[in-house]
Amino acid sequence: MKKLLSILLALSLLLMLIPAMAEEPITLTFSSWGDAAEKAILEGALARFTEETGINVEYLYTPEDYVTKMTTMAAANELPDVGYLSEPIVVQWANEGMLKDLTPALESGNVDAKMDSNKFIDKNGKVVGVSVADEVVMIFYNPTYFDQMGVAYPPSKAEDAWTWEEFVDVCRQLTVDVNGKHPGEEGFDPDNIKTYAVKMDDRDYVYESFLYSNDTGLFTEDGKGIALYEDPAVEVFQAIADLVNVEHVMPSAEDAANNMDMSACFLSNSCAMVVSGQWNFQSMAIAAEEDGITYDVGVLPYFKAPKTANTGTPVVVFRDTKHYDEALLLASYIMNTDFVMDFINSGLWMPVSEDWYTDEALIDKWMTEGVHPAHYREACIDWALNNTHPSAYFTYGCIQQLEDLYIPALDNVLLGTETAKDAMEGIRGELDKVMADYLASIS
Amino acid sequence: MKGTGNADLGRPRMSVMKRNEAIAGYVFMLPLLLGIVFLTYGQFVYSLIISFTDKSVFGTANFVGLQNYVKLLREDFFFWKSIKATVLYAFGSVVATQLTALAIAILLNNRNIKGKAFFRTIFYVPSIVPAVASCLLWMWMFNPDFGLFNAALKLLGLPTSKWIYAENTAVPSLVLMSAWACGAPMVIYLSGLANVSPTLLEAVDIDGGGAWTKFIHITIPMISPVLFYNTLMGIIAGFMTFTNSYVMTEGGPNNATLFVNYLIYRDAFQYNEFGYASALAWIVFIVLAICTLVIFKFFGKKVYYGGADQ
Repeated sequence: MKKLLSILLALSLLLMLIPAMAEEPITLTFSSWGDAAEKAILEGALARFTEETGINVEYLYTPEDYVTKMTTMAAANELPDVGYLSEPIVVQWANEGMLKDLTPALESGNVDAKMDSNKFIDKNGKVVGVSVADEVVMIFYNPTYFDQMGVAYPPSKAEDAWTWEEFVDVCRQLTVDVNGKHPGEEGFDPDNIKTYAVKMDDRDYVYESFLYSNDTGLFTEDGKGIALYEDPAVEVFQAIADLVNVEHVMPSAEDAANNMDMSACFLSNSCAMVVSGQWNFQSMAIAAEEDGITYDVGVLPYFKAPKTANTGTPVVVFRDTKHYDEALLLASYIMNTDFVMDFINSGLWMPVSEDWYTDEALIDKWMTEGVHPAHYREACIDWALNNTHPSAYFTYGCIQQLEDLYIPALDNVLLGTETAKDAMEGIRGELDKVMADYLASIS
Repeated sequence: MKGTGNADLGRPRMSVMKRNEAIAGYVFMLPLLLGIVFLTYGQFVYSLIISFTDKSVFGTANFVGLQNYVKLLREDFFFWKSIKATVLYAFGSVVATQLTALAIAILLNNRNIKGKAFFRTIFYVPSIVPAVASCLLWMWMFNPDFGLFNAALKLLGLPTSKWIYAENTAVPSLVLMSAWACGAPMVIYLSGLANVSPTLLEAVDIDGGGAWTKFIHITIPMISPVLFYNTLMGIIAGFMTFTNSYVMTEGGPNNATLFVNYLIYRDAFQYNEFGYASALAWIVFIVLAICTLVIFKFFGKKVYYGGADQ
């Protein structure tokens, strides 16, 4: 009887194990931020991925505090398999071994050739992230206002780009106070400006664009030192601040015009031009349809050579994935331009594959009437192809630390209470320390 | 006689029912106790331990002794800026909040005021407005270009300010904002004022004392326990402030509002340095503990508890 009972127990245990031994379907997790529209498109892409591969995907949508969420998940060893990651920390995370190599995905044939300017490279030269979209910086302008003022539109071709002096001169012509006077004219009232010529996003991509145009950047040419306190960088920062405090052609940080979005600026004639990123075409197209505003685009002015920094949130495969091959496959799907055509046509994103910038058929597929304006081809597509200098965060892992030093230091420069030279000298030691720590961490 | 016979002598023996009740009591308390031990004190201990390590998100923790503390005190570019901003804010907000709360409470305590409940509600409401919502509201009011404050100053022909947008006015602006949400201490002051003995106030009247004498010599001593409590809580809340710098200023301009809690958050979640951030948190804890001790030492004895022991 005892023996029979033992056999029965053993059998029932075996029966219990059978379902566990059966192959479980793979479920990957994918995380991203983004607005409702981006979420919907990604959900569609993920559903198609599941349909075509049989691999389930759990979508972890985190619209706010994404980095905090990822950091917490990393601390708990529960990172998703695949996801977005904030640009300034990508290389840092990769250098610490938190991200997997994406090279097999890029070489798998599932992904079209991506532009090098959109690849995040770790200290070992591995590709650890590829932007889901390219984004460059340019001048958006209100052609109706330019017509009213009788001023020529910003150049749309890089070879015709304004020098900084030409740009400042045009800015003076476009800026008008409440009495109709321009800067430099007798009786001009800088405290009551009706229309400013230009406003700029006070963000890294704008600063970097002008730094590259002055043949400098965040780092020295050998990549081992900081260039932010050297003369070319200081010249750029001072020139931008002078637009506010000396020329009175750009609103200061607290000015109402500076806190309006681009469409409101054009609708109210608060600013004639806005220096910002390509992604604005989506909201501008909606504003044009709803409010009847006009907009077009030109290339940035330059110091020594016309340049734009670029940006683009990458898709990455996280360290903790237990299904590396499947995660690479999912990353390939997200990188697939066809998947994200809605974003591209809506004006939010630019493709990341070089073919899309040179093949006329693909460009036709990309350009959308009512979204991409008359000069988009030259001032955006050709501009991005030929004049992009990749932002520093594609290759450096200390960008967040540098930005936390130099961007606050510029606050007083933009307010006119400190010179750029003094502000950068004030943080010089700290900048050097960040660099030294970084170089030590990757050696 | 001691120690002879039944060991339970001198202590009433617990009945079975009482013992069962006690066990049940502990069982019901257990979830809370476990929560406190593992989710609160456990974290304290954990953070203290990792403050002596180089614990980051990226890997295992190595013991580094006092290195994090030394680095913070000697080398960290942001630390002293942050401490200065936090101390300024904490003491500024305590003074502003307590004075405002006390002033409103005294006005509302006046017997002749009609619609007291209405006014109490009106003054209390700001303290229950969600922090982020009130931050957004104040951002609008502080806007130098189209905000309410500068509009009012212009109307009065007074010079305007850049409020939270300038380095030297950012902290005072946030102090002003903190005074707006003084509803909670105000309610406590009101309850304190209600306990001020009318007999004592009448005695001052009889002796020919005025309102000021009553306030200084009767009201303040009589409400000293709530004054003490509110001040202490205010300082702690001031040191713990986070939302205003996170939502309104992002620590700027030029790190003028980089309060310690925001710095801890940044070190932990942007730089991934959990050990370092924990060391910073413990330094704040020590500073707060010292502040509290100093306040107890110098002011604790001056608090009047109606003749009862503290």
